[in-house]
Amino acid sequence: MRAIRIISTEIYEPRGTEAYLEEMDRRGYHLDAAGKFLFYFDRTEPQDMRYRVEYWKGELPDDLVTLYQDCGWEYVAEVQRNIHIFRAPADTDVPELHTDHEIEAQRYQFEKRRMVGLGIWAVLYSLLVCLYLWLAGIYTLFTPGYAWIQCFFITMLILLAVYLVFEAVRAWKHWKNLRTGTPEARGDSRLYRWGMGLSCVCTVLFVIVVGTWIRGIVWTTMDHTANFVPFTQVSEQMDAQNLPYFTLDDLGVPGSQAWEQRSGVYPHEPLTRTQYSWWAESADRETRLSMEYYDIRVPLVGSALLRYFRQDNMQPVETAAFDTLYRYSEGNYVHMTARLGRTVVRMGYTGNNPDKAESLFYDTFGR
Amino acid sequence: MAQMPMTESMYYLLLALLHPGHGYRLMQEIREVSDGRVQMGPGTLYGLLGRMLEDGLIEVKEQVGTRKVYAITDRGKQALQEEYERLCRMTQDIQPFLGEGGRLL
Repeated sequence: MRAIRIISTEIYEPRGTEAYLEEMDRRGYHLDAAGKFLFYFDRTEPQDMRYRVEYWKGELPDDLVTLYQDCGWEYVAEVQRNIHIFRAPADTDVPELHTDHEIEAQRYQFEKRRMVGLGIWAVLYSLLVCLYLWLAGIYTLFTPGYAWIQCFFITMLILLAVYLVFEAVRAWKHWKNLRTGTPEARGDSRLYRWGMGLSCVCTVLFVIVVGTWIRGIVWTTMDHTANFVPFTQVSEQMDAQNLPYFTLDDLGVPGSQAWEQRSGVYPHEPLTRTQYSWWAESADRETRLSMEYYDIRVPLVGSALLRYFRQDNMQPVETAAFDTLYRYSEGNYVHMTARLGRTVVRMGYTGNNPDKAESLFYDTFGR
Repeated sequence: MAQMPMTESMYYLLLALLHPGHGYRLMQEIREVSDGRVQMGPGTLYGLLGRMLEDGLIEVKEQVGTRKVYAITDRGKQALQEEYERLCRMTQDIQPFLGEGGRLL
């Protein structure tokens, strides 16, 4: 009969692993093989064994294995990379593998490399998380429908960074103990194994969530054909939800042909986003009108969103029609962002009638 | 260049290698020549053999299956000789401070 156990990060603490394997043998689990993540045990009679963990970069040389075997050490398996396990019966006079502390220096080097490596990763990764939080900023939290997934995602990123730091500190402590020859305080194996199981579950969850998230991004991209909604239909939806809007027709673009570039009504928690943009072209000019309308159901989100939308060149305008209004215009271009209660609107217009667009903006969305 | 002064392990290993032998035999030999005082583990031995090979103190004489038979080189003998002389000087240097029966005054 076989029993399988997950290899914990304790593998890097040789004495912990040795003690664990010895304990397993005392309970009747005899190590048979090992992979990258799992130990395979055979059920046997309980027995007393001595286990030793050896670090060796690359494949173990044959003559080394032979030498150990001559002395009574049986080669069991390679665990992960560069970690090899030997064992011998406990009650025999099989000599210890290492008797000279100078040679042990190899072990310190291994641990040191690991420590430095982990440390670098922890720092890099933490920087990356900070960069991500800074770049993605508030917008990620307001991407409709993905706010909760984003929260989860960010939490996991932070947890992972903390874990990396924790591991690096542990490796450093271990290295220091090895160097000074201080006997190692053995951690509670069961705790580590539980932690390992938990992190496996977390990893699976994480992969699922991130997968869903990425899939969601792909499928809800505005330009994706599946999300391309004919403008007539958008009008119907907006009418059905009683959302205010105006179109190029209202702005009087005579005798030209108009296309919507993209449009859609996206009802999600915590807000409904309505987006459309029109583009019309006649012989000598082109006209563009794009509109975003956010109906928000959570307090404070509106102001935050407005702050995010405001561009550097936009100036605040005092008006009774809106709570807050930012505006920028230049030639035949006008850009306006406004908040009224829990409603946020954005409009960009390029054409020969910017004044009309501006007054329509007030009439349609203002008080 | 070989490490000077030698560690105890290196010294006894070179001593044992005056009779060529493979790893396990060397371990027994070390125990014998040191009268059971020095016991070297196979891991330590293997590491030492590798280092001494690099330094040219020893050589692989032949290979039997997966077992290598090692022997000391002239350079190794010279290093051992130097180490012996160094140890002698050390024991001589302490003489003036010794009283009867080799006890420190």
